[in-house]
Amino acid sequence: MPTIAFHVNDEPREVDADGAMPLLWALRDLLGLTGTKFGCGTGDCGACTVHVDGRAQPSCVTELSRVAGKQVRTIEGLSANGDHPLQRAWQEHDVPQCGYCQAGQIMTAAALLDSEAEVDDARIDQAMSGNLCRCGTYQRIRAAILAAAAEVRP
Amino acid sequence: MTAHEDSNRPIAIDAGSGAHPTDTQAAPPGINRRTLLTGAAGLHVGLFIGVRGGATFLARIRPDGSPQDVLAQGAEGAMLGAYVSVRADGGVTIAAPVPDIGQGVRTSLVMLVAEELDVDWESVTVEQAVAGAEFGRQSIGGSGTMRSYYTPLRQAGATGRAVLVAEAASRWGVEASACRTESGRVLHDASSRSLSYAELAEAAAGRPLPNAGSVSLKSPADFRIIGQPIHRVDNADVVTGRAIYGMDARPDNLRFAVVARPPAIGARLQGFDEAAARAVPGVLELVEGVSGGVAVVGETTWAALQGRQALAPRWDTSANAGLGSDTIAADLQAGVSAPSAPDGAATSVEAAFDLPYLAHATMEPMNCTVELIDGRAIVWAPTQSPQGVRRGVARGIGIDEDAVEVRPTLAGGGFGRRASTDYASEAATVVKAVGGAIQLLWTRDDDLQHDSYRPASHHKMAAGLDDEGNVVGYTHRMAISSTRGGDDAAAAAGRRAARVDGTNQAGGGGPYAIAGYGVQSTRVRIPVPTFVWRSVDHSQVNFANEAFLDMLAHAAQMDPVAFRLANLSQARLKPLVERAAADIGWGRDLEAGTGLGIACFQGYGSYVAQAAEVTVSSDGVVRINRVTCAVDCGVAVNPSSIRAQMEGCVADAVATTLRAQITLSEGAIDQDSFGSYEWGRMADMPHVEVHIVDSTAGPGGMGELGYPAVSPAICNAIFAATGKRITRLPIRREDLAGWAGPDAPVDPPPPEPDARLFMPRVLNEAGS
Ligand code: FES
Ligand code: FES
Repeated sequence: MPTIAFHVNDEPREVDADGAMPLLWALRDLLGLTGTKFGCGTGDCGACTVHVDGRAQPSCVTELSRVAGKQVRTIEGLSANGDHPLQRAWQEHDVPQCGYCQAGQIMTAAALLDSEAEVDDARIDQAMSGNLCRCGTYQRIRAAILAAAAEVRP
Repeated sequence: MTAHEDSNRPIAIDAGSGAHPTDTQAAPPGINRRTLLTGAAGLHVGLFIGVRGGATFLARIRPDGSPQDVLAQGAEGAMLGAYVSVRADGGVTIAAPVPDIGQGVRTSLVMLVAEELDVDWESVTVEQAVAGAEFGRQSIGGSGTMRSYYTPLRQAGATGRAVLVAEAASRWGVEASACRTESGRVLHDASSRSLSYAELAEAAAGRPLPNAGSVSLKSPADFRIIGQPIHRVDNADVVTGRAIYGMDARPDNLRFAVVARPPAIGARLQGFDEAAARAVPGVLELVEGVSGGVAVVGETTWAALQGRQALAPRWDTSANAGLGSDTIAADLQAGVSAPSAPDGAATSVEAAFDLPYLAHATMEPMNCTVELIDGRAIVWAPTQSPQGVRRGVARGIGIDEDAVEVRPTLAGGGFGRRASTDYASEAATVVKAVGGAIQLLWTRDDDLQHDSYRPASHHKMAAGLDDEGNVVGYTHRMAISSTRGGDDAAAAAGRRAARVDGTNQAGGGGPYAIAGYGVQSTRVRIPVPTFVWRSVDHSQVNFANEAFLDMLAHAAQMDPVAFRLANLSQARLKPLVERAAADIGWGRDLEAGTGLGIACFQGYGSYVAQAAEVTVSSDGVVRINRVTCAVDCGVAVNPSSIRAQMEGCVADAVATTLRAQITLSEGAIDQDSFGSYEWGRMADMPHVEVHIVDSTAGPGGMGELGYPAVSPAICNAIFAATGKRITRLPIRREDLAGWAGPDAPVDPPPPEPDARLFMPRVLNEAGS
């Protein structure tokens, strides 16, 4: 098996694995980072969303070989103390129900706020469309994103 | 030594493991909720307060966390318990007796104990109880958790408070009645003395407990925690990725298993390519005979998945080759005959409605992790039935239940699915064959294609109105898909009808003073596995009833809100209908193409009315703008959770009204992903407003309450907007055919469509 090297949450990591293995399973089963969730494995739900070089993408359909040498960020590394504005807003708005989708939701929202200072309802609808929440927490996700956006806006 | 000298030491009774997290976030490395779940840190010894049938027990907790000596006293039957331990730093640990599947009981149940114990919420840490008889029935479903635990858990807290007060009073030589409690302290105001619970707990635990029925509970006016919108205790762990779900269990040397499952209902395995599967790097074992298929065990989930693909199993799918959605629809339609409207009615109204199978599709697919060590099993399961998992694993491995410890994890959704324990039995079968530690995972296609579904149903309705618009007769016959049949059918139908509480004709007592209102249910045997889904039969029954009532209102030429108010007999529903209607702005002028609809529901001890504002575009795209909900669930223990349940139910109803359904072709489920089983997304979510009625009545259920009235409210709004009566879900574009769009005149609404097969009919004269 080849050794594939990349950074995860600013730490250099190496895994011996088939380059076709989805990043999701490498994170969960080889690196013990279980914060990134499996919801479908087909890119349809967003539960597995991580950042690769700052862009949100579903790790279940991202082959390990494609992240060689790149920077991967997972929910565990979004902030040092769990105090990213989105993480705080999520708690203040009591967003999670079962909570299972929320790591992916937050990672997608974080990439959105990193790239755009201004977000509105339509932009949130569009940017979050790949993230399913089976519990139906969308109204609170929207409110939390708007609150965090207001906080980080320059 | 005083209690304060060892701040790490749990003060109650005795210390087991010295360290215990006061706060899962600030816990030292190695001792956080994760290690508690995986058992690396021993649960400490504490004060256990069990309540069984009005009697209260006090017991010591063994280092493994189980209060076995309670059982040793011969306690039998249902016992609802919580254990509370008071630490030297004043922090309190309270066990959540049942699992959390997203409904928030790890927060709301613990609130009950904390309220009566009279501690500050900030001082509370929550632990999850393992599966055990000492906790009584731990399964969750039927929106029964809060209803069954509301009093016992308050009594448990009040009992703890009573012994703490008794201990303080005796130390001071005063009457207990002269003392009060506040924020984890006992106070004697007359002498300005006070003691913390931490200072009292060890001695208090040795005192005789009062009878649970004799302790006084707070009056609602004194509640400081109950009724507050308390945030979920797991929020911080969830948003940082630390929360542990079933799939996150990581015992040492864990291996991963997936199962190649029959591709069609009743398909039989004929062969598979064992060599190819074993040749996949990382594939370790194959286990036959798991749910009719083959389990593949790998070093990683990915290896197991690759192995499953290489297995290329061959199946005989002939058993149900003739089974499809079309044959099922025909069977259901033939399952009940059309009722006729009552004789002598001035106006007769008839209708038929069709509802599809639905999958649960929990966000976290089914999974179970079992570690087998020296004939004992430790099980991590996201489940609604910890004790069912315990039984299933014990049976699957062939060991005693005593040798199985089930640690319920957080669960990524339930909706009824996790009341089954098939995933645990499968994991047990695999671990029995290969030993060690196994995590068995269902993929999303497994989940959608091998669920036990919300049954499909067909409804035939007839009612009559007199000259003044009074309902003079009402019949609702439902044919519902069932895997049971034969001689059992009648008995099952009887049970089924009885379970549709409050709306079945036989039992009467539905919310409307309408003779015959309710449902007569007939099970039609169809080999598609079915099981409970959010709100059980109410999801179908209430859709048909509330859509049909809207038709009756129009036939009576009455406003749908006024018509409901005129016919409702349930006093608790009337103000809710008025409130939901007022909040949506009932009666205001609307743009063409936009309409308002209303529906209501009572069940699970609670009441709700919901109104929807819907806009339909010229090309038949339905957009649900707003839903207002007026809820009477008795005392609102945690309003934030109650709102969340309403929001979630509305989201479910939007998805199942607009898009989601399970269909079959040639005996196989057509949907295999969230691409084909389309659930609602951010852009679909209407704005949801929830009004909760102030009440001190006992709590009602919330998990299912919010679903059954939303789809009919939406479809009634579509009728108001377009004159198109929706009679099947999900809505098809062609069901709105003929709707000319917002530019067409909508006032007065177009008449109901002509009689067509399974479309509603409004006949102007009886018998015509
Ligand atoms: S698990 Fe990756 S998109 Fe669903
Ligand atoms: S909170 Fe349960 S799936 Fe989103």
